[in-house]
Amino acid sequence: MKNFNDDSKYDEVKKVLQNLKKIEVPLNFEQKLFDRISQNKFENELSFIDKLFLPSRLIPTTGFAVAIVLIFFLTNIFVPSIDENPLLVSPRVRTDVISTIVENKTKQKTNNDIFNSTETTQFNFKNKSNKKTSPTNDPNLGIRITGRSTQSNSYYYGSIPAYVSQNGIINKRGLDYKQIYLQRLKRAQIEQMRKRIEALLRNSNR
Amino acid sequence: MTEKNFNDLSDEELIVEFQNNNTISAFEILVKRYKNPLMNYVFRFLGDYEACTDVVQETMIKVYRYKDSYRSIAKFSTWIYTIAGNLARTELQRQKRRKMFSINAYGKENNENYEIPDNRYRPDIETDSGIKYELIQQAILKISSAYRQAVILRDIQELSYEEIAEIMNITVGTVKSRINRGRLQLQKLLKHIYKD
Repeated sequence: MKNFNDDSKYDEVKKVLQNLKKIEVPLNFEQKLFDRISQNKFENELSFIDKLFLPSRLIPTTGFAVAIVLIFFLTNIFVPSIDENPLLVSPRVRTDVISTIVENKTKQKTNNDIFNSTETTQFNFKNKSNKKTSPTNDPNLGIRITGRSTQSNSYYYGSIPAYVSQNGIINKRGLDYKQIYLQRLKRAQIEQMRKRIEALLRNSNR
Repeated sequence: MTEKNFNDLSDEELIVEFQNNNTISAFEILVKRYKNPLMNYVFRFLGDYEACTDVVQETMIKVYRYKDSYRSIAKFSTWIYTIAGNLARTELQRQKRRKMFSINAYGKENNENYEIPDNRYRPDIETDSGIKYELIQQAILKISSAYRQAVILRDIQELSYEEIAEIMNITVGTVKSRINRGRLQLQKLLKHIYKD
């Protein structure tokens, strides 16, 4: 344990410090002090709470808070909305699906064949191992409008192939798309449009 | 009681007189007694005369305003040194912040490196108080503030270990340890002074 009482080894330091010149207050020290006391200048000192609400502190703090709120709202405005109108969004072209459809077309299957075969409903869009027919350069894409169509070849040019099962339900397997749940009113509108197009197509085929 | 009588009273009696009867003369005598010792203490701690004057003034004002918070169980000198020490430490922190801020601002405005001016060999200082005292003061300022305070109170103000312990709110053992460490640091810094 160190012996802190042994000061002898620091005698030189102590001597140097003790011989330092004494510092004195300026001549007007007392006068200034009593002036301050008589004027009660110190009485106006603010409490901690008062200091918090000084304009010099309050203004920057408020400004900072407002800036944060503004930044929050501005960033939220520019975030793309998730709710998209399916009628306005241009569909994506899928090359893998196109080639499969072209292959089917080269087989010259009739419309009824497609409807009746279970192959259609169980069709795997991503199955590229089907090498029975060679791919062609025909850019035609098939869109089948309804499952009830019979004799007419109901392949129409478009970008999304929509295979229809026997029940008239679109087979969505293997498709890479976003499913949007529409409200009843919108669904009714789309259904109405679909029927109208169907009727037009039927008429044009006749 | 006349001023002559007040001069015979101890510090503790004077502050009690000031507390009980609000006697300004008693306060004035306390100011006269402590202004120079406090100035010496604070100057050695801060190394800035202007700031030191403000700190001592503030100490006296605090004594005046909060005279009722003094309790007779403690020595008056301990109480006033504690106030001065706390204010000096606050001022030191403020100076450090200010220095850091001004260095940053200088660099930004002038787009060049800032060099802290070296006042040690200024001719005006050399002629006024002597370079030796200036070097000693610089050495005192170089040791850490806790050791510095203890060394100043012991070797310059010549207070007892018990008084220092009370002022710094630490044990006597810690006071002795800090004084020794401070002295050791000073010894290393002042080697060349002894040779002269």
